[in-house]
Amino acid sequence: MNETPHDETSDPARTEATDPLLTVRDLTTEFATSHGSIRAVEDVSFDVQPGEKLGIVGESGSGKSVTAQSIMGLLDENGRIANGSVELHGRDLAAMSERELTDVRGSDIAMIFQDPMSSLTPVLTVGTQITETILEHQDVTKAQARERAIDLLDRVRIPDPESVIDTYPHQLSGGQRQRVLIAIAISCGPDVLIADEPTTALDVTIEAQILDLLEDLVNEREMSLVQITHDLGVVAETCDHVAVMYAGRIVETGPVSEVFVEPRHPYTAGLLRSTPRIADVEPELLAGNVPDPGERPVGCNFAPRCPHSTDDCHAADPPLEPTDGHDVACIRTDDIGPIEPIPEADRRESIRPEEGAAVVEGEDVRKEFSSADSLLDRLLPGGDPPVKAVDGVDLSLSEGETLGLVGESGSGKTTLGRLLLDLTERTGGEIRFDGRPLAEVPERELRSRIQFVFQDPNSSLNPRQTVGKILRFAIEKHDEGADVDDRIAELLTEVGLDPESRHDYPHQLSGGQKQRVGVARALAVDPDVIVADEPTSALDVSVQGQLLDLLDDIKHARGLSMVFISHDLSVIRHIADRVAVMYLGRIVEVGETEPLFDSPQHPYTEALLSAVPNPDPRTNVTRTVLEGEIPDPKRPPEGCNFATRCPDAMPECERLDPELAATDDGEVACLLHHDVARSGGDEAARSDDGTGRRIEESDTARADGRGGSD
Amino acid sequence: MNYRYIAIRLLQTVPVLFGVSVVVFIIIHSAPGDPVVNMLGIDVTEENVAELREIHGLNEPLYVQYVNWMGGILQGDLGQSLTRERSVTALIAARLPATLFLAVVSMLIAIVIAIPAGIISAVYKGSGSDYAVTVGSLTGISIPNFWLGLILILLFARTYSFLPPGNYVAPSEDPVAALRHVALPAVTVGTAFAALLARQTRSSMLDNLNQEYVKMAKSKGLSSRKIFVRHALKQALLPVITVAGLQFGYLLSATVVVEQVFAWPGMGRLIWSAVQQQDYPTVQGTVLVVATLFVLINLVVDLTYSYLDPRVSVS
Amino acid sequence: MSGESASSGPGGESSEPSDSTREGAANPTGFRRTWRGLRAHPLAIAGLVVVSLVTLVGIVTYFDDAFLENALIKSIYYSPFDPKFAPLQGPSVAHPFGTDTLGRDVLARTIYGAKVSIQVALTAVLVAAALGSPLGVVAGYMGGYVETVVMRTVDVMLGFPALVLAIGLVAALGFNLTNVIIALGIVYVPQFARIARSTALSVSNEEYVDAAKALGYSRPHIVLREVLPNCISPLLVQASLLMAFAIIAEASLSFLGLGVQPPTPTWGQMVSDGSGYLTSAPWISLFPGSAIFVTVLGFNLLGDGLRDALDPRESADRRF
Repeated sequence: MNETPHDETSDPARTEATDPLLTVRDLTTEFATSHGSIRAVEDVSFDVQPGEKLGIVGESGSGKSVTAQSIMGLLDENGRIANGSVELHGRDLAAMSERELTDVRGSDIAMIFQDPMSSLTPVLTVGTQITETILEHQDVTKAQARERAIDLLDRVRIPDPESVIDTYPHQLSGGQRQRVLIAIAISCGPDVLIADEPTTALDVTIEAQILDLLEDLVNEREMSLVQITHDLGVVAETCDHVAVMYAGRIVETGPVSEVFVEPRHPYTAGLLRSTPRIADVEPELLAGNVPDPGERPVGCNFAPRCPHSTDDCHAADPPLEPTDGHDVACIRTDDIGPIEPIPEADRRESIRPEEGAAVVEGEDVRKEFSSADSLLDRLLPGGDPPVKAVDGVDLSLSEGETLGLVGESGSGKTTLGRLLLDLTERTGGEIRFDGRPLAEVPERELRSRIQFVFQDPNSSLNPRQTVGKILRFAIEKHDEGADVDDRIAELLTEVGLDPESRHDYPHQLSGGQKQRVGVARALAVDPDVIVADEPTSALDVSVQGQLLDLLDDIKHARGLSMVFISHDLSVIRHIADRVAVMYLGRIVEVGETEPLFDSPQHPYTEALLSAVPNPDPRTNVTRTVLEGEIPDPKRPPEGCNFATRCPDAMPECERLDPELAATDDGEVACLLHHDVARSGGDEAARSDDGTGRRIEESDTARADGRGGSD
Repeated sequence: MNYRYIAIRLLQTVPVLFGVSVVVFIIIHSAPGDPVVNMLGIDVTEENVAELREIHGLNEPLYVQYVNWMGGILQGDLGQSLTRERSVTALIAARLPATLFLAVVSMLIAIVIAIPAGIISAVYKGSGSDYAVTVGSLTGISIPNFWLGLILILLFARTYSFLPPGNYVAPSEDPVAALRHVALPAVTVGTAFAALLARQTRSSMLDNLNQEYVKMAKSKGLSSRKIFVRHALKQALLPVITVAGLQFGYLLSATVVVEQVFAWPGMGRLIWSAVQQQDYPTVQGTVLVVATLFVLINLVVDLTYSYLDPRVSVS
Repeated sequence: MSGESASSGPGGESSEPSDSTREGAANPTGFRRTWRGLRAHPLAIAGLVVVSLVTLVGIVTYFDDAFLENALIKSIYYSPFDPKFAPLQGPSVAHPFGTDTLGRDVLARTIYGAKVSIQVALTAVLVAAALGSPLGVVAGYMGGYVETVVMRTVDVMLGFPALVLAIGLVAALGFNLTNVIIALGIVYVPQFARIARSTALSVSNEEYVDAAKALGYSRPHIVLREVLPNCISPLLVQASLLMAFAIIAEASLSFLGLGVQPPTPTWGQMVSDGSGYLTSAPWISLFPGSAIFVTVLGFNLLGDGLRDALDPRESADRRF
């Protein structure tokens, strides 16, 4: 268990005293496209002091990644720095030749990339990729470099570094790959470390580990850290300074303790107010959309969406000016004053569903996926065991309630959602709809009573069909006699879209708009139950709020029951009445939202909750950082699936597998709270599946968790 | 070495080979006309025909003929040529080395030219060399090989003695002469192959240079050369190897035509003359051998790829 | 709750002409956008021009030969069949391409050669596409036994080098136009099936296919309306490139004497005829050979251009 109290070291006075390590002035970066030259980043200026942790925060289109790439000189072919300077140790990086830059990169300034999967060269071993960096910048022998590499792997908390050093990237998990990237970045002791969304691609508990690691490393080596992220909570917990970017410009910058507590720029405030929080606070909506880089308005970029804008705001881009402790780019800030970051609105009294009848029930639901590629693969001995995506789940959804299904990758939550609809065939167990087993419900009825909202806006709509056609297919399937055009217009209005958008193709819509179409499609058949699979995960923070609000309104207006699947606990908090937490194919805890969030029973739930970064820098967070990786779903551990990482594990946890049993506050599957173990163990269950295969499940998952955990 | 993967691939190849033999058999036996009649000529009597049919086993039902044929093959006997006084196996054995030699030399020429060309074209994208390579490879795949062969003969007619068109000389006998004789035919066959390879190399390199891990390597401060060789090149060449191997089939096809142009005594010419003479057992045997060779080469390429790409060999 | 105007694309806002036009312009792989994509590549346009020209000639000569008994060419120029002139005459004003061994005008014969080449290439490839693509798409979408059976068969057919298989087939079926088309068609079906399958596989993983399933649509509907239309682009590119191969293949067969038989003029056969007179009368082989080269080049350029124009990466907007 690690304690990470929020660090409040720097104050403005101290900042002026020492010379900044990295100075960015008026940075402007352009890209040459077929539509002409587009400015991704304009007049960006900030300083980084030695030992400082700066967070650059913004949504997509803000230009934060481009800023980082510009500093390192890693722009794509069609990009160039049009103006400005980047000074490190007194030398301007923006003016250096490529050759000069190769000396600086890696040794003075290093970068950690976002997607650990694609950032490591697949054909080289991990060790080679570390040692080549060392050998490039430092005068050591190969043997010394290798020693250094092993040491680094150990430093980034990778177990068994002597063997890992010779493995290939695809053999490691996402978290491990990210650690390797960190090891590479710090290998030559750079003064500045730039981390571009280092944890966005990772699960929450792994994210906590990585952020913890970064914090330790940065403190220990006195590096400066520039962290690029869209997650305000991450910034609040790990950085001392922050620069907020919107549409290519910095709108506010200063110490986190001030900017996040007394924001002055309306966008910063809007962002803070619309972020779903794990605390009991209802997020507010931030209306409008981020303008595309080529279509930024004249004058203040934020003015079209700003509740405080006046005509003067449209005249010119406001410069970044110091105001009361930090810098703000807003001409009206003196009039507006500091804005409250936390919305005051009361949580909408959710209509507590009177113990409505269970509309969907699942009993011992199971789903196995075979890992065999081909017929022969299945027949020959020695192949991989099947993946138990869903391993004996009981759940029930009452009429009118929203059940939140929460878990990280490998938890089986998406698979479970699909099983409820019979989109995927289950391997075992029973699912009942209105008391009737799924097999007895005629398909036509099933398809019109329970529907699905998909996750990826870029994949959920057929790119060759217009919105109108997509909806038409849905409407006609359900009700052949309907006046289709009217219904299309109705549905589009209901989800907050212009009825004329029926003529648009998906690629003409934004992510949020596409998701709305997905919702409209699900509603077209007038369902009673909706299963929403991470509908907001691919969207920007400010847009997420809009969609969640929409779903909530629709649910209440139509009296729907909903299963809301997400990995994001802050989102779940505000939309779910009851929450079920899943880990490795099983439900580990179920309970009403408030009690579960306030006092979780299962150690995993607790770790999950504490791992979520909180955007309020004032709260002192004691984080439970779990050790180890999520186990390989093909080889789940003996006994309790969570025992390998559980901070409170007891000896019997490794022998017995806890059953989901009722306690005073809900249901838990944990031997700390009760004694009920899975009867007959998994042997009985396995033979029921009819595979008849002897699987030697004697190897517990190792702490370095082999295999993919996606 | 992932033995399990190798075993699976080997087992998967068996039904393919089996299928190939069945297809060859069916095709040949759906030829119109009675081969015996054709062979004997005009003056035939019923008894002659019946006798010969009996000798060649042509009266049996088809599946029996197939089994007999397969049985023979597994013992190395591909049947008797109808028009030449030799066994099919002997005919093939005499011709195969010439074709293989031609194919191998063509491939070597192609690889040596195409891969560097493709790499240069990708690395210096948009430059004059890129343009030259692109145009060159487009021309290479569009030119009919027999026409190219004729043009080469025409151009080199004056230097006949140095680069004679055709007439196979075994490398074991006289390496220099062998190379001189194979030069023109190999260039002819190799051109289209080189063009294909260059295009594939170029696009594979371009894909790779755009990858995130190349950017990552750059961020470590590695020199462009190191990045290129270590990070991009090896990865980019993997699909090229696959394509090179798979296109070997194209080479085998090409030799049929080019051997005609250069009077090269190989398998291609054998197939052609056998077809002309309606010597069905020979056609059957040669097509089977060529196809089997192709399938086996594909298998080897597949296994080589899995050996080289760490993502595949460890499952 | 904020309502949003959805017309944020390059199409603009309310001052649009009729809705169908607007939709047509926005359709990501519709005709208009493909055209715009092609326009950006001058080489592809050159390819299109060549292909159109040759196809036109092929169609006209087909009609002339089949229905008009060559009246058209005979009235404008010379017949490709009658040996009226002095043999082995070099190019001149009267005979821009010279005359061949039998005294026939080479230009007329070259023009007529287009008929066979185009007929074979277009028919064989289109038939192969029509048969192979649905097969591949169904195999890719359904998986399981269907996929295994189809793909194993495809593997067997692909185990033959293309030309060798074609030779075997025409040897068995007979040397005429129809059989050449059949042979090449058989050779190309597996190629389409393979590409169709891999495209269908990745399309089947898209969420909108699941959405159709969730709405209760039957498998045939899903394959036909959701999967197949999204598989078309790579198949189109492949068709164009295979037509280039088909022309070379037909020419190779004719060159070997294993294709369409004389007196019908085919380019390959003309090259073969002239091969014995390379030094004395090179024009007999040169011009038909060039015709093959130019036509194939045209198809290749077109295919490359289509591939670039239809590549989804090209049309995606840049994200910062």
